[in-house]
Amino acid sequence: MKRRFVLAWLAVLPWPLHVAAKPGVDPFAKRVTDEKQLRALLSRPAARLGESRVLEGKFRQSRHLREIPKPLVALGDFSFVRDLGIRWHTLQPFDSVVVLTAAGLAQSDDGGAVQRISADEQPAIRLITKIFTALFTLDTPSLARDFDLYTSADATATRWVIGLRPRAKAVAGVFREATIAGGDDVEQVVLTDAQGDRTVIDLSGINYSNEPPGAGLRALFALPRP
Amino acid sequence: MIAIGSLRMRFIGWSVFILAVLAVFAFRVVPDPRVETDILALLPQEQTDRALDTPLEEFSAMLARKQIFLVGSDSLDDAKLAAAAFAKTLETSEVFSSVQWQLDIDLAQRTAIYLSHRAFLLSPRDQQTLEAGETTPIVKRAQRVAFTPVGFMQPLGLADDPLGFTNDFLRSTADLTGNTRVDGDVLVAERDGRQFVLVITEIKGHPFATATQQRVMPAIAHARQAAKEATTARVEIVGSGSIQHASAAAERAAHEVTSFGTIESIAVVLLLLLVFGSMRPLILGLVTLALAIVAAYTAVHLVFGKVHILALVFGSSLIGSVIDYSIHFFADRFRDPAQWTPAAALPHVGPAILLGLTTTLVGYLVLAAVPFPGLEQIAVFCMTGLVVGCGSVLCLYPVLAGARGKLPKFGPLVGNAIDGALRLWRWSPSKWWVLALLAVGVASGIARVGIQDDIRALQQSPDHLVNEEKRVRDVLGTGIETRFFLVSGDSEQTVLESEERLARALDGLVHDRAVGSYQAVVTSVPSLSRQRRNRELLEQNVYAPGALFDQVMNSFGFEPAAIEQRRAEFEAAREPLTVDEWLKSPASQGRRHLWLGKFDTRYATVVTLGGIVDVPSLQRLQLPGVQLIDRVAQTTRTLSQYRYAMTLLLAAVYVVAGLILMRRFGWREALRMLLPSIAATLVTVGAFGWLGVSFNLFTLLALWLVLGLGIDYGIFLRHGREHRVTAILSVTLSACTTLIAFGLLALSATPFIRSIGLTLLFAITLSWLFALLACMTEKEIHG
Repeated sequence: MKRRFVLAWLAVLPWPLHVAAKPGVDPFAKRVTDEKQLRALLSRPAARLGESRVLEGKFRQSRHLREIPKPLVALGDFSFVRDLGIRWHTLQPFDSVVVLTAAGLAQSDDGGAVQRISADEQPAIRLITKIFTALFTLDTPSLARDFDLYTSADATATRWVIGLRPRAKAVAGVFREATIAGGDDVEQVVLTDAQGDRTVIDLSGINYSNEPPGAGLRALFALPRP
Repeated sequence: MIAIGSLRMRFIGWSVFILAVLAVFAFRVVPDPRVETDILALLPQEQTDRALDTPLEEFSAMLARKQIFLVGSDSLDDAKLAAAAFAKTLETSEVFSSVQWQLDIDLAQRTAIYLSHRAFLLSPRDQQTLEAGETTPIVKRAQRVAFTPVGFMQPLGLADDPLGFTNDFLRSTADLTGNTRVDGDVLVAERDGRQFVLVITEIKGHPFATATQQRVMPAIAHARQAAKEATTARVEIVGSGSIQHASAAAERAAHEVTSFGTIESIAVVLLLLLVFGSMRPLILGLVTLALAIVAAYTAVHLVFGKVHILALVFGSSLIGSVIDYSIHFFADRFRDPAQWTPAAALPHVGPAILLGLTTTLVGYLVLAAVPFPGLEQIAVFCMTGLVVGCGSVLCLYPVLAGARGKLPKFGPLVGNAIDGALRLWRWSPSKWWVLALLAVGVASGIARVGIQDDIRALQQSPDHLVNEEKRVRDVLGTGIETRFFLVSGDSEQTVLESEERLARALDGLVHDRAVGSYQAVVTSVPSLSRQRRNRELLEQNVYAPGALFDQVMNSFGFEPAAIEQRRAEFEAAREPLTVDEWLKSPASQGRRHLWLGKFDTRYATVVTLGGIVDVPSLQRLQLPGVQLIDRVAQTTRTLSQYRYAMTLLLAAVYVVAGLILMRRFGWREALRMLLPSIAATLVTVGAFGWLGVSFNLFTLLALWLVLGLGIDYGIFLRHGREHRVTAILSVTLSACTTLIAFGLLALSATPFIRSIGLTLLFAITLSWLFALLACMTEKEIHG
């Protein structure tokens, strides 16, 4: 019963569609070469992120493929726990939990058996975990190391968008470019792959918490090594 | 006068013969020495395909040229900086044929060939799913890719591979070396918070060649320096590979040879000067030994077409007794210092030398009769060497061995002292009791002696290198593994099919953690029958109208045109992937060496292994067309077979020598001449048992030397009964030179050299002592 309720609630939520990626805004207008400049731009969200240990919120992921007229939409909630990893809980169109940690990935569909892949087995996991973590925490030194960074012409600390192009070929295999947009929070992440297909991830209802994660939350990340 | 004339004739005749041997050696052997170093060539009737010997040899040589380095620091940035400086210095040194550290992953290039044959390719996991007629796992996977972050971890996007078959195939071909991960463009391994960048190199030239070592080792040292200067952070560099061990062993051997060699030379020169007052005995002895070795080498070269390094090493040591002939000859001067002429020595020394030679030759004849290629070579080497050495002493010395100068008093003093002690010796009952107790101790010692045939234990590396190798294994999960599988067959397809069976078995071992990983061609290019079956499965279970493909595509909402286009692409694909095509494509980069190719009528490929934990589990894999190539185990087995054969032969030779001596002297005397070396041998082995020194092929080599020398002691003492002091002095001198020459080897850091040294130290001392007691106290025995 409870789950059905959550799903219904998710469905009626007014999603802030394309908040930042308004037509006419080019996230790759200006190259950012100075990390200070980037830090100034991201000062508002970064200040809140910097002191938080746990981030929780909802996401809406929509994949836009050229050959599919309607985007593939997934809804759910996420938790980011500093030093532990990311828990990505998809509720629609089916229930699926993906836990990303430095050690690897664990996933389970419909509450079924947990599948674990160690990061040693599939190095892309570490890469994705790193990118997701950097995106959520706006960890500018980490971003500046792996990406060429850009920003739009009219970005301000209240409304900003940054563009990222991976430097290493290995990362380029995962996506060709990415944009992060927001104001006080990170609101939208767009990943574009080599074929030009896009994945848009909108985040909303983000809760910040300075409290250390509770035992229940920690347990969710305690993946025995595969 | 006639005697002198015939001596001259003999001298001239032998000199002409020696010159002829030297000529053959100089003009036929030296330009093409053909020294064989492969220890496996010593194995009788090898079962492997002769046609595959060369490619296998080349592949093993390639493995031996591999050298990996881990450049580590506490932060990845520092590790990368250091690794870059390290690798670039190695590259510019030009002594490496490849230095790999930056990955150049162009995914599109690498995957192109698999994409064009995707209608025939399935991962083993998908094969099983489809064979079982299941669809749910595949639908689930497609949904996960479309709706969850798992979708970002695929090499091919959703549009390129909606059902995920190609992605899963690519994953199953992925090349993972131990614990490494791709970080940016380098391979990184992490251990206890320290980041290591992997640098894989291949050196130019043979790692065991001194010239290669002299080029490569300074380049590595230079690169280490460059890496440390590249960053202010602490840098740790560890390596794994043959060359560092080979170089350390060579350095140590060179060091030992110079230090021991100097001490030995000085000691022998002093001893001979002290006894003879002249350098002539030593110089003539060394010239004789050199002649013997040259002749022996030439003979083996002519008879076998090549000379094995083991025959050369063993043979040269075994014919060391040639030096003794020289000593016996000169020691004869003490018999009558005033009147002695070299020509007069001949009748006194000649028969004893000839008898000693005959018994020893019989021993080597027995050795030659055994169908071990190595033993045949050693036998021919030793027989030639001893005959030439003996001939040189008997034909050349009477003319060359001048008798000028006064003989020092030292020799006779020592001889008389020993003689005096022996004359006082009484075989009292208490001494027999001591002997009996000794016999019991020896017997129990022999029972507990440990046997060591493992070549690695016999060639131990210095501790710091062993630790480095351990560290690499610890960080990386694997070192450079020398064991691999050879898969061969009459056609490309039989090879691939055999390899598929092997890969399935290895999957099980990887799952059980007996092995970390393996690399095989077949993970990239399945056999034709497998590929045809894959296509059948896809056709029936996936692409059939209304089947899996339609279901998934429709559920995602693909346009009908997009669905039909993909179906048409599948229908049009008719050509399976072939090995040739794969070899020519970028996809095979880094793996081409696994396909050895066609040899005569045979095809062959190898499967390499990483992180081997459980060797016996590999040995238990018995599959048609598949062979585990384990150079270390094969070497160990070869050494073990040789040790076994040579132990039996040693006993046989003692029996044969006994029969010869019995015919000449009767059984009592024969026993007296033989027992000392037999007893010395047994006591030595017994002592090793109690001291915890292991018994190996090299111990045995030393015992063979003891056989020859010990019998000579007996014969000389028996012959010299009328001139006791001279005989005692002569035998004592030869024992001393042998002890000086070999005894210092007991201090060697290389286990197998130490074995030879220790054995001779014990056995020569004992056979000298026993020979004196057995042959020179006999009056007391008879009353």
